[in-house]
Amino acid sequence: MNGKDIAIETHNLTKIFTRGNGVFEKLRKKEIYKTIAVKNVNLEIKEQELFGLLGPNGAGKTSLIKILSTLLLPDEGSATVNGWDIQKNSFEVRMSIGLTLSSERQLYWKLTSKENLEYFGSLYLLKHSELKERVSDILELMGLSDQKDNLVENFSSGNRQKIALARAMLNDPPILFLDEPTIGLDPSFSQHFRKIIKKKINKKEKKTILLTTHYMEEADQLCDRIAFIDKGEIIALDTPKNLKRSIDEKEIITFVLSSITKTMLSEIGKLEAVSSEKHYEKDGRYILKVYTESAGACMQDIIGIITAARSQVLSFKTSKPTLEDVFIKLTGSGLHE
Amino acid sequence: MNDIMPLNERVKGELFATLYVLKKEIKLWKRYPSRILFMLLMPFLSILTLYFQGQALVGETQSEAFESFAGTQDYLVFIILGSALFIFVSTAIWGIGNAIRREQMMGTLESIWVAPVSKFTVFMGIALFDGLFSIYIAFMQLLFSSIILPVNLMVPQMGVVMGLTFLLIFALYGLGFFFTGIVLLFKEIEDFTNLINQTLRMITPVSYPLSVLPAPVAFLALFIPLTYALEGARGYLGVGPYRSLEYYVVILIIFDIVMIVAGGAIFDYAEKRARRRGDIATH
Ligand SMILES: Nc1ncnc2c1ncn2[C@@H]1O[C@H](COP(=O)(O)OP(=O)(O)OP(=O)(O)O)[C@@H](O)[C@H]1O
Ligand SMILES: [Mg+2]
Repeated sequence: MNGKDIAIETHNLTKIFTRGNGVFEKLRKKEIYKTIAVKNVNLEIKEQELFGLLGPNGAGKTSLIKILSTLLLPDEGSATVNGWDIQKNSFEVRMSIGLTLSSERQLYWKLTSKENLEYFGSLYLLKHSELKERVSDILELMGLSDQKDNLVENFSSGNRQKIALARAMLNDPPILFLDEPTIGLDPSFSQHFRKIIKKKINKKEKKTILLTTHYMEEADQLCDRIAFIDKGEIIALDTPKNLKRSIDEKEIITFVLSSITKTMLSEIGKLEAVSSEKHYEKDGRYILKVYTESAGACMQDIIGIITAARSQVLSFKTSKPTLEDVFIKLTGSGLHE
Repeated sequence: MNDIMPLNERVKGELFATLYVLKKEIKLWKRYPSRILFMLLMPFLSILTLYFQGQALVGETQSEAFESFAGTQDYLVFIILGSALFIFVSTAIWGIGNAIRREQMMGTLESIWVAPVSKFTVFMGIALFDGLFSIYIAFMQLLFSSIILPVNLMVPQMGVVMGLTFLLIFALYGLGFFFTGIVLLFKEIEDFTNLINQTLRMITPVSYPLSVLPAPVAFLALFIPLTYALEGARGYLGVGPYRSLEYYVVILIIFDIVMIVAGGAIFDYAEKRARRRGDIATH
């Protein structure tokens, strides 16, 4: 029954949240509204793959992870995890996975890390005789043995996230779901934590990992393959390298401008060296991205057009395409708005 | 297809999980000192309240006026038994639903939900904690009354009272499952539990015999297992009317089955609905 190569597979997975359709809500004549959180998602994630779901807030990342981990029932479509159907075999799916959520509150703050892990280990039906040993091994793996008797409330956010990851690994499941694993962590700890995920958990412990993030560097750095998700839909799926290669242009000039006008955009678009542009507003400023074969060939002209349109260049930089640029090119908006 | 875990291992795992839930509840409870203070003082304060209330109303522990309603003069024993048994009802009503609500507020509920353990196992662990808590309070109430007040409740017949209480507990835990369903459906528990708690206290013979109630209200009491546990316990101790032990035992067992099945079904429905709406964890 268990698939040899494919760890996670979904067919047209769809989740539509309906609100206002409860008995009391109907009585109060509340309006019924629907949110499509996940739309026709088809994925195939291989065993031991580190797979990233990258998308902006509200894209449906958490919903997709919750469906795959049986916390949320889909409305349409189907999925298997470790070969088990997520609806018919929820027990087996739960036995096959570990999950960390982005909330810091997923542990008991008034218990020590060891007490937390022993408790959750018992909920994973670990054998009584193996439980204590497993807990101390996993604390060792996370480098937290010396903090086993500290209350979780006294931990740093980073170490709390480590304990959450330790908990997800308790029953040694083949598959891990990590929802925004580094959210709220400072950059250096994030870096450290990513290393643990990639080197220890993915490579050494050979876990299949599906993680969500809206940090494109994180996805770029960690993932074997990435799916871009926007408004519930997968809009691109490939290795980070191929995704970046999908932008033909070699350079991108990013301007921060005080204003943008239509004529300015059309004139820039007409320049020979410019292949396309994208623009959006962020914090009251305007971001203009110009995709070009060569920044040097068009920079003077562009600045001329901007000045003529009475806008100011607040800053600019030229760069190689990043995953964010791919995302912007696909959706017309950035990951962080 | 269920080759992921052999059945006997699974059953063992679930049993151990029950104990670990109990252990966790005790640990969490110990880390809030106010709860320990409550536990130490609660039995004495409640008994003294009943005693002084009795003094004010009937002037002593026996009352002829009371006999005309209750079939016994022994006001104090009557009411202490009522209070001791009602502890089990209160904690059962408050217990599981509130514990689940607490997990929901703390943010740990989804982590429990995604674990393979049966949710009823988790409830049983909590119920075990509540049961131990209730036994302690009830026992201290009886002990304290027997030492300080002019009644003696530390008698061998209490064994039968304990047996009836034990039978009552299962029905109450059916009610506990129901309240867990309520938590998942409404994200609210306090008003519901307060309402049910007060209603039960009013319509069942906890503080007074059924005969003081208007007939329609007293009729409602017949659908509540606590009524039979109280009547059986008091009757057996000779403070009130009594049928036969078998009568109370059979009725309580029927309540146990019906309420566990019904409570479980309501919980199942609520759980599915919450998973469809994605609001297991929503405050
Ligand atoms: N339980 C729910 N009920 C109603 N709507 C919901 C529920 N959960 C999520 N949604 C909606 O579904 C959409 C997808 O949400 P989801 O949390 O999956 O996005 P996300 O990609 O994880 O976002 P974020 O980066 O903010 O975590 C959003 O529009 C959200 O408001
Ligand atoms: Mg999310």
